[in-house]
Amino acid sequence: MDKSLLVDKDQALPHRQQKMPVARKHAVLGTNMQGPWPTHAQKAYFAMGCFWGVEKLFWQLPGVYCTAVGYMGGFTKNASYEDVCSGQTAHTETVMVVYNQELTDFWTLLEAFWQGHNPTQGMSQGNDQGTQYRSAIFWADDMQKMFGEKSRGLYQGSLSKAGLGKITTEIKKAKEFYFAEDEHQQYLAKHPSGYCGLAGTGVAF
Amino acid sequence: MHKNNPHNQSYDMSALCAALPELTPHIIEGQRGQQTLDFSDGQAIKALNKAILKKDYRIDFWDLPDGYLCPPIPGRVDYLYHLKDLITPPTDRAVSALDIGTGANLIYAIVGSRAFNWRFVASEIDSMAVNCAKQLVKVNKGLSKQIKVRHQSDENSIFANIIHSEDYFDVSLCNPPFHRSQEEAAQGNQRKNKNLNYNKSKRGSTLKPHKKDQLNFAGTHKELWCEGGEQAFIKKMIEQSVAVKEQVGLFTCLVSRKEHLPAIYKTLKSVNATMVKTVDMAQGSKVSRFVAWSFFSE
Repeated sequence: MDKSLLVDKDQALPHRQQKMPVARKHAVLGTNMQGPWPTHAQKAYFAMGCFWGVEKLFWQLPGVYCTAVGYMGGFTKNASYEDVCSGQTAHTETVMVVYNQELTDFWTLLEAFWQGHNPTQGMSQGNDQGTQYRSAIFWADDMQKMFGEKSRGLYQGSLSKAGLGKITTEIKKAKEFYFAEDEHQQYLAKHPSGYCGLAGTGVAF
Repeated sequence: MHKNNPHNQSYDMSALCAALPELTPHIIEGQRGQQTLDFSDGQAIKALNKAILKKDYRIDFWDLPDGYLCPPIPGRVDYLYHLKDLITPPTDRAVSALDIGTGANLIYAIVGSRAFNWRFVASEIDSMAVNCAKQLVKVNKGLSKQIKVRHQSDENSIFANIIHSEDYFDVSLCNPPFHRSQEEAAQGNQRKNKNLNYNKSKRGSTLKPHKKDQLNFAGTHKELWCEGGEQAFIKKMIEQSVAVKEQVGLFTCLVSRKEHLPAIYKTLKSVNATMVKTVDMAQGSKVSRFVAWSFFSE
């Protein structure tokens, strides 16, 4: 099948009954992977290619309380990595970022998002091909929606000036975040020389 | 309206639409054939605010998450012009102002910094509103040098945590939450909306009443209510102003109901304020006022 095409709901793989087991602690930050988090915590969800590198990008930012890798934007509930790699779930590899609104803000995360990858590549990112690598911002509240859309407009201006193409990033309302398998959580902390193809365009936000 | 308030004439809708084309679809024809808006439609008011901020205050981007208070800009600007009359500007630096409870909208700080070149610290207890306000500062060029947004993490404190030891403010201002409960705030909103629709029907408009979720006055967060309502809030503010009396030249606060004034004066007397002044403002048919007090001898 052509992995550069999004499958429809009726073509998608069936749901899995079993929720993915999640380790209790973040391997780097030591925080609880599934909450509860402090009062000023808010979640944000970013997809920008292979989630291993993306998660590392965010756990290094100040004010980030917890991160996790998973799947969002498609149809198959409790999908496995294998399901997602088949291109038949319509999910994209997504990183959940729990940030402390006292110490940082969504705009700072957006800056890391736009500068951290190439948002003009459609159904791929770098060498990774397929719908599971498409770029997306899944907003968790109205404020994120509003600034997410504003930031896309701004960054498109910068990219166009630099001669780059049209942004293909999806900006959609967050749905359920399906945790990925434990082996993928904080992958680059567990495998320091693991694969990471994440690279920005070099255009400043 | 204050004589210097640039918004003391009716809105120039053509100029506003030219500044912000997204306002155009909201324009309707008024009774006298003039261009106007449905002032009970939250989306229209939001677009109007965006247009005013863009045209008159060089604000490229302003928006609000749903459920947060969308303020009428002319009235807000009026308060600022009256404050300007009251304070003696320092000669060696810009005026520094403190906005208590800025909401997600940050209007006083935005307008005050753009129109008067004042510096602002803006406080807020709702963390999403704080986040929103902080980002407005980041997104609009030039604001970050003039506005600092600080989160009030203690619901019972007004100045503590917000005024740092090195701060001095020429003036503090506040649009206090005026309802006593979230329920009362919601009812107040409905009433306000009913009145608007009633006025509209009087004028012969055929617009349908708006659904609850479209209300312009929907401020379900703590912008509109606090325990004890406006009266309790202002009392607390006056009592807590004593602890920072050396750091604020002039404290001020809007008072929505004049029936609250006697109790306010009594509290001001009990804390030995050296100067107390009430300034009346009139915006159209709406009369409002703010109380100002100080602990400095004149």
